[in-house]
Amino acid sequence: MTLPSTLPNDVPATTVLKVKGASHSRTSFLLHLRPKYYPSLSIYCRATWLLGFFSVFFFVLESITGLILMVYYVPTPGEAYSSIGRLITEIPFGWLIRDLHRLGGEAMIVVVTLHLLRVYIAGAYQQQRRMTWVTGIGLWLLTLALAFSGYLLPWDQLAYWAVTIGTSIADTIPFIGQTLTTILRGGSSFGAEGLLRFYLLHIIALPTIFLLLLAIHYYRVIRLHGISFVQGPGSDDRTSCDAKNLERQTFFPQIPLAELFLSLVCLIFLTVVATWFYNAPLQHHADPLHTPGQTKAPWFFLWLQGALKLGDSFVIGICLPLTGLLLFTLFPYFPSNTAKQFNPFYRKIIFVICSMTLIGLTVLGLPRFGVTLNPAAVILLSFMPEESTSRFHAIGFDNLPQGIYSTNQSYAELPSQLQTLLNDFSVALRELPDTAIDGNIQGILMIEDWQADLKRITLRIHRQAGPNLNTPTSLEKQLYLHRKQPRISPTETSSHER
Amino acid sequence: MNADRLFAAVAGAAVIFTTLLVVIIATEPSRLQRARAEAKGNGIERGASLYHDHCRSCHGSRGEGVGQLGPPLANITFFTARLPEVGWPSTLEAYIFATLEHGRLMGTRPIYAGNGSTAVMPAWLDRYGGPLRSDQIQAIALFIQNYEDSALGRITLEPLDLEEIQPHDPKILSRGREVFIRSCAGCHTFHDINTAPAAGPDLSNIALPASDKSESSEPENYIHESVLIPEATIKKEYAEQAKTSPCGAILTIKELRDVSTYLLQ
Ligand code: HEC
Ligand code: HEC
Repeated sequence: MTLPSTLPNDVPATTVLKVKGASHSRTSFLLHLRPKYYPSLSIYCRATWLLGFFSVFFFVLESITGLILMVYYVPTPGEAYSSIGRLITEIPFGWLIRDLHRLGGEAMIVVVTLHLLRVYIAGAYQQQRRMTWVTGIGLWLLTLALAFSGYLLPWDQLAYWAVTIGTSIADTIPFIGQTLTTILRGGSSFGAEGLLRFYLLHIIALPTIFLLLLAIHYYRVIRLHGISFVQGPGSDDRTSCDAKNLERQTFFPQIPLAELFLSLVCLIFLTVVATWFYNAPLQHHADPLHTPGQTKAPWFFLWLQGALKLGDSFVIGICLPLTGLLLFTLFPYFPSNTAKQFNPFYRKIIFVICSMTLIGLTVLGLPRFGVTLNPAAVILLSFMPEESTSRFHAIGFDNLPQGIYSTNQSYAELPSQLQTLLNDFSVALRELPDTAIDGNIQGILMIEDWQADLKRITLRIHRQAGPNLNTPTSLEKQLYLHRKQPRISPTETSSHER
Repeated sequence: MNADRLFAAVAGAAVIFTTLLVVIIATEPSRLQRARAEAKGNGIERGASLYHDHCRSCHGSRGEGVGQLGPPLANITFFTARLPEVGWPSTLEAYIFATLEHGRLMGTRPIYAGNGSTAVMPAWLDRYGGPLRSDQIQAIALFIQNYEDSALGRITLEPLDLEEIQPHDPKILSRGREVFIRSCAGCHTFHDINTAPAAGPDLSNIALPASDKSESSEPENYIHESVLIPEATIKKEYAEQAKTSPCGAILTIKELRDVSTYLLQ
């Protein structure tokens, strides 16, 4: 096996002290993957926080749940959304598989990122580990790409617009930008072609490359240089193989048992979260003609959305991140005579600066309402949001008696939540600009029995003519509310189910 | 850790995990049922607002029908007698789907014959050139089927009366005025616009008869009907003119809405 020596800039494998009883295991593929002995220190939790293991765990979890989802998912714009709907309403445990896949994907980003940071802080990217570092960054990028491509697949408003915005960053690259986005989206905007492309990327192309890289990465860690250890007194964090680390632990049965145990604990945790605390989001069907009030990149790309607010998309959205990434990937290869790059102190400083920047940018990237909306419309929208459940839904069907209610009166006989809502409505109206001057503003709430188990709710803001206003103006918004509502949260439902 | 203790830990975790799965499996049937009911409720909500946007101008905002523009959908005939009447062999749900997706080129009843030049109801499915996706059609179908209880008198709904707001948006009004001058002023007078040889009635006070005649429906529907199906609302004094130069103009739906708003301002 000459793989290691064919990779650039690396010490040939033969010069490395092999600690893992490798010579016995050449006969079996499985044992080749899992050597008979491990250095005791390397399975010590604090050495790696087991982050490599967890990364693989999530990759396996994503593969298994993903395969099941593929059975039901249909990658066409006409069917994609309803096939996700069927997972929730028709297919037993469909929700669980979907929630696990979504949660697992987001957790995988976190774990893989932490893994990368742990390696960085421990300085475990030197000498033979340089190539491992590069493959690791490749795996990290693939994880992000997998998450991003999977984001589009439910084909709801959230997915559609997040990914549309994401890909539009590539638009700004001179010369090839337009072509690149056209190739990605399969046209000038996402449609059947683009969905299919993202689907194939998500289920075939990216996972295959991921597996290849993972094989190299794993081979190098297990076979070539082992893992690095926490820096302790007297030990240089660059060494992995000094004599005192040679104390060995047999693979069987401890290590498989420990891995089984950790996997079970993880599964239990994820299942509990998915069952009682989490629902994978599903907004309205994607609508290319209707840009939602606020569009938001996936949380792991919010920093990029934040950065784009600072200046030119090409420079800030592409050049800077790419240069940063290139530096980050290749810095272990820089001539190291200054030794600065290996100095733990500098490393930590750089780490702190970089993470502060990312966090700051993420906060900047959080969406706010477009400033162009009329303030009265913003009030209506806050009571009747486009996507999330409204306050009326939280109050509950039975607590909304038919009637016409005005903010200028009080209604002692109404259910208290509805009174609070009316009160909040009138407070919001009083805070509208100019209200103090022309005074005469009224909010009206009309609740109608519209059909069996269906109510229509109208909120209207009416303004009389006054010194600032020649004609009276009215603005209204409507919402329909059915008796059967998804549980919003355990506390809210228990109050209105009785 | 030694192997025995690890083994015990694995066994413990496996027991917890299995218990968890048993709980989930036991509650799954009721959860599925609830999820279905919720999805249906959500569909009815979405259907209601799509109906408001696309259908009420012909079928009335509460499904009561609008003159000769469109039949009532929230009445007992629709739910009990309509399928045998047209000889539809399958379910009401399928009938609604088929009708909505393809629209109607010709009315099946004489009074909904339209003016003979356009489909009496356009196709709604995007595949046939309509504006709606199939999941939206599905939602509207759920909403229409939900009229059943009130149509059959199982429940009664008391309508409330909140005055409709008339949008005084100057942009709409000026667009409406342009449409009027171009398409209607040849026969009608409206306040300062009186170039017409009075082939048709003066519309200056149309807001009054419009809100009287369409008791349960919105005033603009009266104007829509007058323009789209002139035979439906012929005034006695204009019987002659209605034969020689019947009311009507070729307009887009948006122009029709604009001009109605203008006339009702
Ligand atoms: C331009 C006016 C118009 C619009 C807009 C319209 N319809 Fe119709 N609709 C009609 C007419 C006319 C008929 C045919 C009546 C007949 O065939 O006798 C009809 C028939 C129907 C029928 C079958 C009723 C029956 O008794 O056979 C249904 C259901 C229906 N429409 C639903 C809708 C829905 C839902 C919408 C909104 C998406 C809609 N319509 C929009 C005019 C309209
Ligand atoms: C070719 C001449 C002609 C044109 C053009 C015309 N109408 Fe008419 N309209 C008539 C006649 C004749 C009547 C009276 C007979 C009837 O009631 O149908 C009438 C009646 C009406 C009525 C009912 C009046 C009432 O008091 O009940 C309304 C509303 C109306 N038209 C609106 C319009 C609008 C809006 C337009 C422009 C889009 C328009 N008409 C274009 C000839 C015309």
